[in-house]
Amino acid sequence: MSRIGARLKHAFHALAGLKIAVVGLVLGFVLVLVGTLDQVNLGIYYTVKVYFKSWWVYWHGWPVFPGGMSIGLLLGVNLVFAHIKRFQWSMKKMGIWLIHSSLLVLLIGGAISGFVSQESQMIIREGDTRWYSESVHDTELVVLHTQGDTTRVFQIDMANVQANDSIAMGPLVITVESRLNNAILRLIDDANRWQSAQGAGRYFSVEPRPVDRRPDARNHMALWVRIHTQDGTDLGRFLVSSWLNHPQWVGDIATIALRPTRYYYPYSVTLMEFTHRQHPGTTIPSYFSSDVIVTDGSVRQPFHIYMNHPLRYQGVTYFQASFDDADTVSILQLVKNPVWWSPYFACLVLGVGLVWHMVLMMRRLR
Amino acid sequence: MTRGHFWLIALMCVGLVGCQPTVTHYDLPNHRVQTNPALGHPNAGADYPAYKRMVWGFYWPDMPDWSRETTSDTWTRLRLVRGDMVLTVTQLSGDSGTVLSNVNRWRRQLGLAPVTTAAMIPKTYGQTHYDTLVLRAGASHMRVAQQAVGADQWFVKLTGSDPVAMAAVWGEFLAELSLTQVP
Repeated sequence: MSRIGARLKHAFHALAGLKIAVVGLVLGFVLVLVGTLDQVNLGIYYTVKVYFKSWWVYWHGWPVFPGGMSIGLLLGVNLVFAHIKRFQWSMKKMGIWLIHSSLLVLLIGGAISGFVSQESQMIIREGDTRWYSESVHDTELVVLHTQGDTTRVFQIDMANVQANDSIAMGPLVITVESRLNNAILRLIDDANRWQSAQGAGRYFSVEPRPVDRRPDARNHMALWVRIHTQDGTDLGRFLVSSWLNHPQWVGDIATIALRPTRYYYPYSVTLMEFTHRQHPGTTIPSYFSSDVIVTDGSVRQPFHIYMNHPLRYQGVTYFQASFDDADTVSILQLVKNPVWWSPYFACLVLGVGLVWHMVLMMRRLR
Repeated sequence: MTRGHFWLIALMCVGLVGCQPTVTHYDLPNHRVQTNPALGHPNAGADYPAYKRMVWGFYWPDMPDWSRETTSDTWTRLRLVRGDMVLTVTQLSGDSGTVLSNVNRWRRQLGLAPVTTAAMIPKTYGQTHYDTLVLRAGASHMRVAQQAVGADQWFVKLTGSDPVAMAAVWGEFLAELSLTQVP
């Protein structure tokens, strides 16, 4: 056997070993313990994001501990390799095999779900039409460049952007001078304005706020950025914030905005009517629902969305979540998870495996 | 350092490099972009009024010598004070009373007796039309302007003791006041 072959075999045996499984389980135990304790500070959404839906846990910008994705990958690889190494095709082992396979399905399904599942909200006023939903927690920086009848949207997830980053976005190069994860803007209504800034930056002061980590809280990110054209012309210093409801022009080249991350769909949803009923003599909702029309190409379909009866369309589930503005605005919670079936399937396989193994054991005891 | 360590560190570096920012792009028909209109185009004139409307829901001119006071009631949108002059902008939705009931309310505030018939005088300041009223009770003066915007009634009220100074401020303020919503 060649040297490379020998090394691969050595690595295979190491990865299939019990030591790796024990190390992975201990790391997972520590991660769950620390993550659970830190949930007091971070809230459930940020805990899941920082500890479990991540490759590394960062502390002051440095990776200090493997995240849930790394540990899951390690355990998954260990499980697969251990099965390949020790696999024996016999009816006696079938139960064990099924039980471990179900764990593998759970791990892989959880990992895929962590990467591809989306949760967002569609906030829609009666009579309005939406082609997109918005994330509650994630923010994106966009440059909108309109040419003719089409707008090209350049987008970057703000989770990947730090101060001093320089980002080429279509016709603009944006250098982030400073970043606040939550801030409110106050209009400066006297003459003492920021003459050195352009756009909204001339008229607003920025007040930092602590990040609100409650599950449904909306934080407003703010950035001071310096913008150049692709050929190096300085267009000035701009303030962008998701607190501002409007994009702002950068010269007459393009518009820029910081906004909740959008997910566009190839169909539209129009809210025809929102209904909100209360228990008599109280303000406690007894019933609320949205009558919507989904327009997909030339097909228009009416749907009635109400509590515990979501609309399922093209892999996206629309739940009636809330309402606003004197019952004229409906808030729909959208969930898109292509591997929603994996825990159910894993449980089914686990159940079959356990029953199989139990029956075999009972027969052996006789 | 063994080769195993080397490969482990290399793998970590690959993982960290994989987290670098990436810009994506997609194309949309203009009507599907559906975002609020952008502010601050170089050809659109001053963008400050638009930002002020965005924040406050209406625009009023800068009043450098006046101080803005906060109020506890939700319908008073703006209260400015200079000396004994007080300027308020109030927004009422739904039933905002008849002309007679409003006039008698303002008369009562000045200590005047109620009247049985009342009318407000239409006047134009700048490009904007208002129904106006001027009241006086001894040294106390009051100017009121009313404008309907959609289902809302907006009231602008100025009180003070110097009718000349009040008249100067009044015309200037109402001419620039814009009660329309953000573009």
